[in-house]
Amino acid sequence: MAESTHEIEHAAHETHSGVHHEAHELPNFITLLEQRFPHSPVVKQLQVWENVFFSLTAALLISFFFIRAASCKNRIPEGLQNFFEAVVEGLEGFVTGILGPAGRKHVPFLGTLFLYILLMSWSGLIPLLKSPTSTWSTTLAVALATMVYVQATGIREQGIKHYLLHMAGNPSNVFGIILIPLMLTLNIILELGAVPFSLSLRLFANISSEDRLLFKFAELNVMYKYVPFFFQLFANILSIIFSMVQAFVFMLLSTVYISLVSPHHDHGHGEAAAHEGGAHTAH
Amino acid sequence: MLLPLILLSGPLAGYVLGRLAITKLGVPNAALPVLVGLGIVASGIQSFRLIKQIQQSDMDKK
Repeated sequence: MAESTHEIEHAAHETHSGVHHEAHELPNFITLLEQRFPHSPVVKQLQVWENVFFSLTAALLISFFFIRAASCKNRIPEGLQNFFEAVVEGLEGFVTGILGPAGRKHVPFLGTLFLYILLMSWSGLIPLLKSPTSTWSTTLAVALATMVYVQATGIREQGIKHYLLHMAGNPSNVFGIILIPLMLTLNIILELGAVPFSLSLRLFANISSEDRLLFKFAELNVMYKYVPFFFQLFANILSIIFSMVQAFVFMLLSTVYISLVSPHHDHGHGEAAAHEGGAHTAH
Repeated sequence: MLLPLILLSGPLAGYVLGRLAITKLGVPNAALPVLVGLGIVASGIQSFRLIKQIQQSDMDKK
């Protein structure tokens, strides 16, 4: 009786393991811990919060290096300070190139977004680590945070009245007023639904497909005694480049969305346009 | 990237409003294609405004 129970448990464990271990990406250290200590509650929790763990690690790494770099205040920068100053200046130049000098205040958010996504995407290339951006939950979280920031920027810069007019399609005639319900629904679907959906899905699809490609090449290496090694090397180099491209595209689109909610010269933004005109005159 | 999303969101918004109007307000079913058509018009207007805004900001930079 005891033997049959053990066999059933073993079979159930094998079935469960078989379903659970259908891998699509290279294993990370949490996966290996789970195989080594399958009944440990700590490892089970780590596995459930795997993406959060790696995301937080990326955030902590960025914070650590930037705080260290910022603590060096040499007049002639060198080492870490020099490198990070070049990175920040490059990001600032890019953002102000789209948003103008007023866009400088958005550089911390957009720059952090770029570096955070880049580090998360690259971490899948390091053995025993994982790209949190290869799961939709992570990319959706980042996209939703971006959406909240963009809408809050719109409300702050335009004022609540002009923001609502912008969402209602800036009606200037009777036809515009008739279209208000449609424009409101359209903009709500677009700005609160379609934009975060497209941002997250693009990043998730690209990074997860890169991870699957690397996994498949690793399988081929094992099956054909490392003959496809150079293909895997090529795939790794492509992954590095495409991860950078995807992080850049995410930041670029976020910058564009901020520019679209910022005050611009239009009929419906009288106060905001006047304010901006005043700012230009002051310059 | 935004333009296809705007063009898709317009008819979708018209459809959503049409279904709401039919179920909650008892509007006749013929209102649905009318609202979807208005949604297409709205997305066209929004796309035109977006293109105009982008052109304006390009001219401001020059």
